[in-house]
Amino acid sequence: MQEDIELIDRYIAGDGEAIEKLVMKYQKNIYALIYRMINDMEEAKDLTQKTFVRAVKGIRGFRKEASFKTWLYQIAINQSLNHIEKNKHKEVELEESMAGNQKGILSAIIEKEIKGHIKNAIDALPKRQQLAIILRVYDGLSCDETAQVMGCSEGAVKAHYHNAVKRLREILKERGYEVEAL
Amino acid sequence: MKEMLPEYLKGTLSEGVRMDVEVHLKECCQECMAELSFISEFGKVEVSDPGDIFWETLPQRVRAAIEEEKAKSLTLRSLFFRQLPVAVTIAVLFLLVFTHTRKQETLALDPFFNDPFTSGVSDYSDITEKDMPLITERLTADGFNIYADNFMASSYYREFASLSSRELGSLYEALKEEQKTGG
Repeated sequence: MQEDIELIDRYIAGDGEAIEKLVMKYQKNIYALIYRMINDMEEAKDLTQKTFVRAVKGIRGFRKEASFKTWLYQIAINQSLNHIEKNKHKEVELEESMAGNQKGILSAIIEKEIKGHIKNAIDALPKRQQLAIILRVYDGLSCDETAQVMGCSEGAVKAHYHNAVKRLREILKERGYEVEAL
Repeated sequence: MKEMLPEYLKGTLSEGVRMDVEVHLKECCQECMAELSFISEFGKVEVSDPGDIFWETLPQRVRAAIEEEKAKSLTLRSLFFRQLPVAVTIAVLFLLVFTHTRKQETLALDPFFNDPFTSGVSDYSDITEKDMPLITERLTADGFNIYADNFMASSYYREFASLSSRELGSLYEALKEEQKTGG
């Protein structure tokens, strides 16, 4: 955290390279987070760049008591949610076309793949639960950090996380996929 | 303990806490083992890698985009500040010309018109009672509804105001004698 603040101070003092270092440090996390939320590589690449540009533009408004990482995550989530909202109608069209193709042999095989099952199950979760799973499991954020990013209490994060795990088990069971240890 | 499993899986726990979780799992807590196994399955969901070129160029692209936006806003700002004095000068000149031409127009329209911009206090000292019918006639002709009697009466106000209390007293007495009181 201290390292991030030093880089921010260096950037404010006029050192452009400091920003490159910050981007290098967080680019993979931010890209993965956005990708998991929107499931589109090209859009995720574009939104990752936009997230960093937006963060740097508003860097003077960043309160240094908070973590730069959680602040960056908040921007990435907002960008992703805006993107999802804007492309709602497209998603419906895509889902419809996928449903139409489901009878195809190739798509049937893909549907049976484990990662496809889990991915679809996560996508089917309500947005808050989905976020809790992504931030806690994939990004390894603590409850406190997740609460900061999601703008809610730690208790709410725990509730979202446990409901998400429970719901995922149900969805996967319904779709005929069960983890051995269950 | 369950709350720590995602961080345990990700390896972000401190050494001490990680050891505690391991001890707990070795004690064969079935519930935690099942949850750990379940969430470790999530790792199978891959994120499409956009490739090395993307990772290598992203920092420079972000920096370039920020500098481009900064330059754009600077150009706009400098353009605004360069144009501002010119705009202010034009506005002041326009205001001066406008007020001057307006004054000329009003004077040309009516020579009797007392422009409040040129004379703050109206001076009627050169108007005598003989002028009153002329003014009344003119105002009536211009469509103003003037009652000559009232207007004429008002011309005595100044004279009353200039009387001393003694003079007013004797005037009152004289009027009383003629039985012209009231009003």
